[in-house]
Amino acid sequence: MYNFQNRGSEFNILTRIRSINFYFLFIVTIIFLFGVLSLYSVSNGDFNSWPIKHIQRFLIGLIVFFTICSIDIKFFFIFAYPIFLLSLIFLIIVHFVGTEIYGATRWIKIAGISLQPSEFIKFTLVLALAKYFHSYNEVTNNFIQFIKKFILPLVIILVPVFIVAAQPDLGTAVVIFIGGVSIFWIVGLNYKYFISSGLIIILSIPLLWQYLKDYQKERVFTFFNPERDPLGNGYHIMQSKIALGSGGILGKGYQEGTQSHLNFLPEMHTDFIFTVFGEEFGFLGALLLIFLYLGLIFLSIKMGLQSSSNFGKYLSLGVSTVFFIYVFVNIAMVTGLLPVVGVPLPLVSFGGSSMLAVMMGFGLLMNCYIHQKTILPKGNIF
Amino acid sequence: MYQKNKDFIFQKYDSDHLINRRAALLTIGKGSVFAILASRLAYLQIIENDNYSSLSDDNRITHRLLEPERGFIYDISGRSIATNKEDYQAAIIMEETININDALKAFNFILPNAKLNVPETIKKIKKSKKFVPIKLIDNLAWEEFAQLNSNIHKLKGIYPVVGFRRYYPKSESHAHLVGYVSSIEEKEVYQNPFAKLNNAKSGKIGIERSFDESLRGVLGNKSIEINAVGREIREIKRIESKKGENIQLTIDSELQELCYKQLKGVSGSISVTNVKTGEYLALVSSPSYDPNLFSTGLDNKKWSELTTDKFKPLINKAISNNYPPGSTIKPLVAIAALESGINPKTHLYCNGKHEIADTSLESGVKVFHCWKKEGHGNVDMNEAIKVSCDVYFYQIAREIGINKIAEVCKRFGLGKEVFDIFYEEKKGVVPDKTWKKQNLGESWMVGETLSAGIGQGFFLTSSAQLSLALAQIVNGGKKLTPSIIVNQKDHNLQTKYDSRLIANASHLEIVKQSLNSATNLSGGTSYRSRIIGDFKMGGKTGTSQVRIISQQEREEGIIKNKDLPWEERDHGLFIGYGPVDDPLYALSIIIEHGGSGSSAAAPLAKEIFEYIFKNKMNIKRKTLLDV
Repeated sequence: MYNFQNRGSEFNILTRIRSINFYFLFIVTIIFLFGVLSLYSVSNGDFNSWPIKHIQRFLIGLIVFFTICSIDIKFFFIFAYPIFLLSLIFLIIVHFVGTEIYGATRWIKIAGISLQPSEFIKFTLVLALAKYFHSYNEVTNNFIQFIKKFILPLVIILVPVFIVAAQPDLGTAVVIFIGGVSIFWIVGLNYKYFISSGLIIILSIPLLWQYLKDYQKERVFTFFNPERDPLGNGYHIMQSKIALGSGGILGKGYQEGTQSHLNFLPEMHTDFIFTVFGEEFGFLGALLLIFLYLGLIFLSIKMGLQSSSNFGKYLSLGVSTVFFIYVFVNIAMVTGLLPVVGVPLPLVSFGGSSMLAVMMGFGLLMNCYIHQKTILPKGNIF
Repeated sequence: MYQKNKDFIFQKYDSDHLINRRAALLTIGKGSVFAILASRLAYLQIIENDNYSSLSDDNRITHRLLEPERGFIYDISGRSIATNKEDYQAAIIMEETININDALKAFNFILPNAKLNVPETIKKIKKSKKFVPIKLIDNLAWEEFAQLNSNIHKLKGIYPVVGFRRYYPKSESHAHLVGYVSSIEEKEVYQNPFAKLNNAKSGKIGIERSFDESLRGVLGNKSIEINAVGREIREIKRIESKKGENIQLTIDSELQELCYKQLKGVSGSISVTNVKTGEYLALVSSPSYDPNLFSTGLDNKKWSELTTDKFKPLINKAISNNYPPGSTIKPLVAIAALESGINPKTHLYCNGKHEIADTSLESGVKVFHCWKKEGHGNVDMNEAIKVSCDVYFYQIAREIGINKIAEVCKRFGLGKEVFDIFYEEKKGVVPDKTWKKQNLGESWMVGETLSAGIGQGFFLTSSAQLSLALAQIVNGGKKLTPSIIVNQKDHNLQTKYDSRLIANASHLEIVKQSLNSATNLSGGTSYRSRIIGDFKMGGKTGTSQVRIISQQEREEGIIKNKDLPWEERDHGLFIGYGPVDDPLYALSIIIEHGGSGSSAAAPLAKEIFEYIFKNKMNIKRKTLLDV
C-alpha cells in the first residue's frame, strides 16, 4: 500500500529509546514532582491518599510513553484514522454506558479503571488531522477546491466537539476545537479565514447562548461579575483569587496556605491545584512553574520542526498546542481571566485520564522526534 | 526566489518555509499568552497583595454544624422504646499533650480495659489538626469514666467527653420493628446532610430507617471566627439545632415482650392487630439481636455471625418473610364459597383423598390427600373448618375457581404490603390465572386450584397479613387501615374503619362460628389450646408443607416431622381472635419449621390471649404530650 523510503526502519526498540530527548522528559518529571508536592500539601500530609495515586498514574503514563516511543512511526501513520475512530467510538458509548458525576456523563469504566474518553480525543484528533493534511496534496486554486480540502477535517473536528459539548463539558469541547483548528493554522490556511471565522463566532454567540445549560450561563455571568454571588458560583473565582493574591511574592510557605487548608477552596486537588501552589510558593513559585511549562512547549515546537515529514511536524505542533491550551485555560481560569470550565492542569492536577492522555500525546510527539528522518508517502489520504 | 504560487488559499511560500513561519508565529503567540498569565499573576500577587491578604483574613469566619438530638420512640402507653443515652468518651488534643506517646501509654495504664492500640491511634491523630479533639474511645462504663476523671491531672491533653448514643431499653424484643442506627454509608452521603458531621449515624432498617428524616431532626450551625491556623477564637452566631420528632408506635411493649418470650427457642413471628382500629399491638420476630450493638459499633465477627445464622435473626419475619398460609386460608376460601352461592349446610363426603384426572401421570389420575388418612366422612362447612377437612376445601375450591379465591384473599389484604412505610416489607403472592401467566408463563392447572384451596402451592403470606385478614373477618367485614404509628391528631379513637363492609356480614358470621367451634368444641383442631373462662379465644390452625410428599413415601409411611432435618419440617401456623363474643384482637403466629399448627402455634396463642384477657382489655393510651 505504501512505498516507504526507509530511513529509520533499521531502528530497533533500544535505539529508539536511546534517541528520546531526555531534556524533555526531565522537564516533564520536574513539573510532575511539583504536582506531587502540591497534592501532598492539599491532603494535609497524607501521602497515601492523592500523592501515591498520582505517582502510580505517572508511572503508568511513563509506560504508555515509552511503549509509544518504541513503536515505528509508520504504525501511527497507517493507523491514524482507526485510532481516531476508536477513541470516537468510546466517546459515543460513554453516552450510553457512562457514569454520571455532577450531572455530566464523562466517564467510562474499562477493566475497573474509570476513563474519560474526551481527554484522549484531543490527541487522536490531532493525529488524524496530521495524517490528512500530510496526505492531501492537491492544489487548491479556487474556492471549490478549498472547500474540498477543508470540509472533511472541519467535520472531523466538529463531531467530537459537539459530542463533548453535549455531555455537557463545554471546557473540554473548546479545548478540542482550538486544538483541531490550530492544525489549520500550522498547515498554512490564510489569515483572513481565521479572522473572518473568528468574527462569525463572536457574532453568533448570542445565538448559541440559548443552547447553554443554566449552570453554564451562571458561570459566565459570575465570571464577568464574581461579586454577584460570592457564596455561590462566584465563590470559586473569588476564593481562588484571594488565595493567590494573599500568597504574595514569596508565598505563605509549604503546607501553610490558609485558604486551601481551611477548605475555602473547591476542587483543590484537581482544577484549583495551581491556586494551592501559588498560595504556598507565591509569585516566584508560580512563575517558575509557568516557565517550566513554557520551556516544555518551546522545546516541543523545536523538536517538531526537526521532522522531515509534514506528518511529524503537524502532529508535534498539534500535540504541543493542545498541551499549551490545557495549561493556558487552567491558569487563566484560576486567576479569573476565564470562566471556570473544569480543565485540569496537566501533570499537576489529580486525574488519571488527563495524566494518561497527556503522556500519550507526549509519546506521539517523541515518536515523531525519534523518527524525524523517516519519510512518509504523500498523496493517498486514506 | 519563490515561485509565484497560484494556490490562493495559502501563503506564497513553499511548504517547509510556510510551516516554519507559522510555527514561529505560534511560538510568539504562545509566549505572549504566557506573558499575559505571568502579568496577571504579578497583578494579583504583587500589586493587589495587601488587598487580598486582608480579604484572606476576613475569610477566617467559618461554620460548624451542630448535631441535633435524635427523636425518641414510644409505645402506645408512652413507654420508651428508643432513647438516647449519655455516652462516656475520652478525647485527645494533640498540641496540649507533652508527648503523645506517653499520654496514650498513661491512658492505657489508667484504663487497662480500653486496650488502646497506641501506634494505630497516633497514626489517626497525626492525620488531623493538632488543636482538634480526636475521639480516643467511647462507650466507657461509669466506673471507668470516673476513674478517668479522677486521674485527669496525670493525663495532660486528654479530656473526658460526654456524648450521646442511641439506646434501646427493650433490646431484642423490639429489635426488628424499631430497627437500628449505624454510621452513614457512602451511598447515603449525597442525600443525607448529616454525612458532613463527624461520626453521624442514620437509621438502617425498621422504624429508624423509615422515619429517619423526622427522627434525626434539623442540623444547627454556628459561625465562628478562626485564626490563621484554624483555631476557634470566638463564636459569632449560633443557630440551634432542632431535636428530631418523637414517634409513638401503636405497639404495646408489654404485649410485644410477652409475645417475644413465647417465641423463645423457635424461629417465627407473631402479629397482634386491634380489630376495631387496625392498629398493630405487637409485631414480633424471633430469633432476634441486640440493636444496641449497632449504636456502639459492631465488630466484624458478630456481624458475620448475625448474617450467616440459619435462623436469620436480622430478618423481620412478621413482614419480610412469606410463607404458604396452609389451612389458615380456609376461612377466606369459605367466604369465597359463600359468595359464590354454595350452601354451607350441604354435606360433602371425605374419604381421605380427592382424585382428579391428570393425563400426564401413568395412572391417569392425580390424588390429593386429606391430612386425615381415613377421611372425615360427611362434613358441612362448619365441620370442615372445625376439623380442617382438606377434601371439603378441594371440592369447593374446584367449584368456585382460583380467580374467585384470589379476589377474596386480596380483598382481605393478602398479596400486598400491610404497611406502606417499611422498606423491608414483602407483599407475598396471591396466585391466580393472570399471575401465573405473567410470572411463570404457563397456564393454570386445576390441581393448582386444589392446592390453593388449602393454602399451599404458590400462595405466600406474611404474619402481619394473616392477622389483618382475620381482624376484618371477625370485626364483621369492616375495612381496616393497618397502622403502626399513632397519629397524634386522632389519638384517642376507639374505633377506626371505613363505614363500608368488604363482605356480607351473615357470611362472616358463619365463618366466625366455625372458627369458634374449631377452638372451643371438642374435636376442633385447636381444642387443646382453648381458654376456659369469661373470655374465649377462637381460631384456626394451619400447617404448611415445605416439601412434597411422594406417592412412594406415602405408601411406605410418612416420615414424622421430628425425624426430618429442620429445614424440611412443616411450618406451624395459627390465626386467632378474642374475645369470641365481642372480638377486640386478632393475632397470627407462624413457627418456621415448627411442625403442626395445633402443636407448635396454637398453645402460644393461648398464652398470649390469657395474658391479653387479664391485662390488655383496656389499654391505657398516652399522647406524646403526656409523656
